[in-house]
Parts: sequence; structure tokens; C-alpha cells
Amino acid sequence: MMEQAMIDFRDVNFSYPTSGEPAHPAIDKISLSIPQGQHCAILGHNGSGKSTLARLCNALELPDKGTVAVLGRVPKSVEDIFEIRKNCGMVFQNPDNQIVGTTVEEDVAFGPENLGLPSVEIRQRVDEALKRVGLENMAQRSPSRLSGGQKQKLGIAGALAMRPSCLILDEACAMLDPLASDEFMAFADQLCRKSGLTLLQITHDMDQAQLADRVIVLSHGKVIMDGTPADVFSHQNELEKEGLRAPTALRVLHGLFPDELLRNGDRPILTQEDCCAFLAERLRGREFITPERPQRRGKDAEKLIQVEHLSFAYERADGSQILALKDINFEVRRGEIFVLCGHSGSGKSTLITHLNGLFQPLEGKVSVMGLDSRDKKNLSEIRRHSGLVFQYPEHQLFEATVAEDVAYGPKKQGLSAAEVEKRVRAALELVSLGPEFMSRSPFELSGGQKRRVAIAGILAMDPDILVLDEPAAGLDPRSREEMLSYIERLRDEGKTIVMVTHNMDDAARLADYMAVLSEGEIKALAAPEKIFADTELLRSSGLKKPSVLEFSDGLNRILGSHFAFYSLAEAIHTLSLNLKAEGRSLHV
Amino acid sequence: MFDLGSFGQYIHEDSLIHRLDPRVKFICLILFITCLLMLQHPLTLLSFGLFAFAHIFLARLPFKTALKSLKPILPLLIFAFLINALVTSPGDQLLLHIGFIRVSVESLSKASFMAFRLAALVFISNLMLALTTSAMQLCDGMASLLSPLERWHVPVQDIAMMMSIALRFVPTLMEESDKIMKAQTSRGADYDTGGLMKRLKGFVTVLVPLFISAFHRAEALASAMEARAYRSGIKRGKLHPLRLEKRDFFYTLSLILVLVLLIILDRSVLPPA
Repeated sequence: MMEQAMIDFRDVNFSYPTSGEPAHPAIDKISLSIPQGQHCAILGHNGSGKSTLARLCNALELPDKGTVAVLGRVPKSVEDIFEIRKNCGMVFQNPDNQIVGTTVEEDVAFGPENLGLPSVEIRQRVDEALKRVGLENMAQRSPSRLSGGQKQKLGIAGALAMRPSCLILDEACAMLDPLASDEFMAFADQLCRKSGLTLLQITHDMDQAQLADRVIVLSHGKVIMDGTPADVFSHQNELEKEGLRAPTALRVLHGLFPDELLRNGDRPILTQEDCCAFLAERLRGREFITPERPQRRGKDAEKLIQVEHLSFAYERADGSQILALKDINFEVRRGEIFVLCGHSGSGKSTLITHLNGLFQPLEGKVSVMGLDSRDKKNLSEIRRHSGLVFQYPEHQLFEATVAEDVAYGPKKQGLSAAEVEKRVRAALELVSLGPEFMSRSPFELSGGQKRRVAIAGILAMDPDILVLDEPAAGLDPRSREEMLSYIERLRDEGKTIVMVTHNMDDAARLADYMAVLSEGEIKALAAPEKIFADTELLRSSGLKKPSVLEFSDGLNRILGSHFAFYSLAEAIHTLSLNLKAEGRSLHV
Repeated sequence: MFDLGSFGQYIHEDSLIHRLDPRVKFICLILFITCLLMLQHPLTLLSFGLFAFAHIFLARLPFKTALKSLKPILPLLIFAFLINALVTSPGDQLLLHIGFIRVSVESLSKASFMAFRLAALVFISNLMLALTTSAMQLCDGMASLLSPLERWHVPVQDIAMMMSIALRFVPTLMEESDKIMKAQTSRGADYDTGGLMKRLKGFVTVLVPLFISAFHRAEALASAMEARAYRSGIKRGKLHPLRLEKRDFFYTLSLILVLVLLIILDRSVLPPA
């Protein structure tokens, strides 16, 4: 007899109830079966129905038509639903919104407590689950003291304590920094493989799907691709159309040979090694053209921000102080993109709150356009020159219409109605939001659009300097790409930009000059070429090398060449120059 | 980051007070308060204060933190003191008389009593509950004490769950409001100057985003709880079942002894002040 499927969808239709408008199907006639023990990645852009699919697996939603069976059980009664939820543990996107307990162990116990188990058994399950995720030494700790990665592991422990046969991760890495996210996915993959758990991973990050046995791509509630990662990733044109992005090395290859179905002999190309081997084959044994990268920081450009010997400390509830910033020195020059990077908790956010006078230095000095932030009289002037956009700025929108929200800042500056109107239009224009958006409610826009409205709210104050804290965090690949191009455009418009990020690909692509922050100290201050050449520095600061640079390193290892790519465009440009040099046509 | 002060903030320690059964703590607190309200003599009140103070050591709390827990009610204390100090009755010994301000020896002592009682009340409540009892324990204890009400279909367990979640989210939402305020300040909002109306209006810029975020969180949390098989009205197990131990009886007994002694001293032994 065939083994029973872990999850089995048969002709499932589902739509969310809407008032007025005709219901738009979130899941449109999906049939698929996920065998036990499989690691399956479900990809799709925002609104493709991938999260709904996960909710159907866990019986958080019930299908309008068709059936969803978990280990053969269909959610007919309350008991069925309980049994299904016990079998499919789920970890959600935002760790802070799924932690119920005030200590780690209380939170893990929540599930078993709901099952009405005796205390001894709950205790046993909690200890076992904590051990399996490696949090056994933190059982008594408050979850708010855990790092992002640890919080998500706590989420897994909470699911494991129910003794499930399947783990569903619904964009569980979306709010983690890249290193933590890699570590977390590798951990989840290992854990499930070791114990034979089925793993269902919902994501829009294709890098993470590489570990899976099977990749399913959803679009408009339908399955449009279903196969091994290598299979699915070879259909790049379709993936791009869906707003999904293949891993960097594959994208470079695709950019060079857009029309070929790429294979290495009879093996499909999937990993970076495959890509490098494929390219090396075509480039081997010739002189390489490696264009010089221009020094991007202007030597005589005016210094807009100067930070000298800045230190800052927070006071804890018990009165002790934690030093958050130690003797920080740097300057930002007119017209450049200055990238400040460091892992979560390195002090980045504290540092930038000094750049528009929200925090005043405990020691040292910060001056913005020559104005000292220690002088309270300068503060409003400083805030006019230096606009600060916080992380997830869309969470701060409050007005009824986009126009009113964007107008808040300029109105506070005391500008005339006509001037405010002009500023609002110009600011929205800068982030590609036409006048038709002005009368809409900001709350009905998509995530990426909301964020653009929030940024326009700062741009409308017409600052010379724009300080952005993780401007692309949490966006899907398409919106992310757009956001980066807006930042480039703002630089071209003459704005000076300070950008905080822990995404090194973004940093490599945009930075004219960089600072690496770790434990509240500046570990390095240099041009990006110098920073990224220092592997030891990146490792010790908890940063991941940009994937384009990983790729050029991979090529260099095989070819003995000296390529160094900082962006996808640059990689494709340089490599195509080299391929052309031999007179070889790019489109064989 | 954001300093929440120590009001309503649990501090984890392994001490006698921390280990007491939360139900016992509730009952002991009621005993404390009853006694406090019965005491009249300054000396017994002072002894009561010292006894309450000694609980800092029994709970192994940092000295400063325990005292700081009084900070949020300082304005209230001052207000209560001033109001009481100004209320005089005819025949009092007046100390001060400027226009409508009349302060007498009696009103001053009454005000001091009042302020002292209030401070002691908050202090002992913080020590017995807020600082030494986790939100979960607090709710478990409450639910257990109120469980007889279930006979009349009061959803005690759901109420306890709601409370524990509310408590769990207080720090999260405070951090969030701090973030929002910073963001709006950098857009030119000003929460510190201007008249009352202007300030209240300013808070709209904080409250709207805060409410929206709270609703989003509530929705996500409800999903997460359901996914872990929570449902209203189910019979739940307990990781830490409430069990009365020897120390609970021991502590309650000693407490009653001390409090009764204080009351006897107050009522019959000490000469009237």
C-alpha cells in the first residue's frame, strides 16, 4: 500500500470574504500532495496565495470547495481540527506576534497545555523541545531578551512540543538579518531531516529554497511550477515575471545567456559552483579584462555630517548603564551614499538617531551642515536638513489620505498651502506615486507602496540629507529592487544619503563609502572595495559577504583571474566584455 | 530601547517571595492592606513600613529597583499630601495662614499619614505582586481564586488568558509607541510644548499608528494561538500547577502573627500619640 500523504489538497478553492466586491479566489483549484518527510518550498510573490495555502494546511482556514487532508484526516469536527493542528506545527513571520508566554519555557508549554496534558508530561515535552532547538539554557529567560533567530527557534520549540509530523514555516525568516536567516533555515532543514519531519517552507527568497527537495511556485492562487529546485530555477524568465529572484550566480548566467536552457553536460545548473564551472569552461585560458573601479567618494566634496568622538549609553531599569556607542568618528560628504552596516544590535539605529538630533551625544560632537546638535536651538534646523526614515516607516502613517500624510512634515515647517501642495506632489513623484494616489487612504496600499508614501513624507520636507534605516527590509524581491533604484535616483537628484543595512548585496551595489559597526564601535571606515576584501572583518562583525562577490571569488578560484563584482549589472557587463573579446557570439 | 521604569515589571529571582503560591500572595496582600488601614499610631505605622521594607531582602531585589517602583506614583503622593495639608477644620493649631492657604499641625500630620499609607500600599503591592510574580503566575493565581465563579458561567479562564496576554504585550506596545514618537518627532511633531489641546492633538499621530499596529498584532497572535490548538473553553493543562507548599503556610502564619501583633500594639499597648 502507498504511504499516506502528509498533506493532500484536492481541487481546493478558497477566497477571503469581501464586502461588496466579488470574491477574488486566494486559492484557485489547487490539487497537490506532499509526501511524508519531504522538504518542500512554496514560492510566490505577495498575494500569490502562498500564506493562505499554509493556513489551509493547519486548518486555520477551511476550503470553500474541495478537501485538504492531513495524514488522511479531513477537518470535519473540532476533534479533527485539533488533531490536524497538533500534526502541523506552524511558525509565523513576526516572532513578537506569536510569543504568548512571559518566559521561554512558559511559551513552549502553551501548546501542550492546550492539549490538556498532565503537568509531568508537559514538563517533559518542554524540556525535550528546548533541547532540540538548543535553548535549554534559556528556559527562564524573557523572550524579549532573545535575538531574532532565537525567537524563531523558540517558535519551532513551541511547535515541536506538540509532537507534530510536519513543520510549516510561514516566511519565518522575513524579519531576520541575512546571516541569522541562513543559519535558521539550515537549522530547520537539519532538524526535520534528522527526525523525519515534513518541512513546508513558505518564502519569496529563492536562496532559501535551494535546500528543499521540491519547489512549488504559486501565482494568483494557482500552481504554476512544481519540481526540483534545479528544474524550477532553470525557468528564469517565468520566475522574473512572477517577481521572484533566482540566486545571484544563476541570475548572472541568465543575464549572459538569456535564451539558452543552461546545462553542464547532462547535469542541470543549480549552485554557484555549477555556474562558475560553466562560465570557466567558456573563459578559460585567456587574458581577462578587469575594468578599474573608480574611487567613488569625492575628495573635495563638502562635509555635510561630522561625527567626532561620539559615545552614548542607555540606562537600564535597574539604573546601570549599557554603553551603546563608543568613540565614533566619521564624516559624510555631499552627494554620496554612505552605508553604515553591522548586524542586529550593533548600535546602527542608535547611531543614526543622533544624525538628526533626536538623541544628543552623551560625549563627543555631531554636527550636521555645520550645526552642532548639542545646541538645542539648532535642532529644528538640523531636522530640516537631515530627514530620518526609520525601519518599517509605513507603521507610522496616520492620516486619512496619502496627500495629508505626506503634507504633515511640510505643514509643521510652516510653509504656505501652495508650497505644501507643490512639495507633496514633487515628493510623491520622486517615489513614482502619481497624483491619483493622493486621495487614497495609505492603509489600503500594498506594503511597498506604503513604504514609499512614508519616505515621501520625509522627502516633502526637502532635506539635503536622507537617513534611511533598512529601507528595503521585509519587502518582496520586486519592491526591494524598486526601492534600491529609488535610492540611486535620489542620489542622482543630488541628495546625500546615509543608509543603514545588514544586507551586504545592497551595500555593495550602492555604497560610495562605508562604515562597519560592531558592538557599538566602528571597526572599519573605508571604500566598499576595501571593506569587502577583508573577509576576516566581515566574519568578526557578523556580516555576510555579498553574493556577487562570492560569485566572482568562485570564478577567480577556478580561473586565477582577479574579478571583483559589486552588483549584478557590473558582473554581467564585465563578463560579457570578456566573452565578447574572443569574438564569441553571446547568443549561440 | 526604552526604559520602562520598574512599574509593573517582573524581575526574575529565586527567593522566598518569588516562590510563594500566587494565591497566597493575593491573600497576604489583602491581609497587609487591611492591617495598614487599621493602624493609627505613628510608631506602629513606622514598624509596618519597616516590615514591608524588609521584604526587599526576602525577595532579593536590588534596593534601587524596589524604591524606583514608587516613582510613577510620586505626583499622586504629592497631590494627596497637598490636598490633605490644606484641609483644616476649625479649632486646629494653625501653622500658616496666607490668604486661602491654611495649614495646621493636625492637617499636616493627617496629610503625612495619608501619604505614608498610600506609599506603603503601593510599595507592598509592588513587592508582593508586580515585581515578584510573573504575568502568567499572576493570572493563574487570579483564575484559581476566581474559579468558583465558573459555576455561574463566568469565563474565568478566558479572562485570565486575556489578562496575561495584555500584560505580555505592554512592553511591546510601549516600545512601539516610543518608536512612533521618535519617527513623528523627526517629521516635526512636538509632544513637549504647547497647550493641552495642541498636545492632545499631537498624540493622534501616535495613537492612530499604535492602534493599527495593535490590531494587526492581535490578529496575528490569534492565528498563532489557534495554530497551537488554543480554543476558548477547553480544559487546559498546566506546566506549573499551583500547589501549596510548606513555605506558603509558614509565611502566611508568620505574617498573620506580625500583623496581629502590630494591631494589638496599636490598639491597646501604646499610649495615644
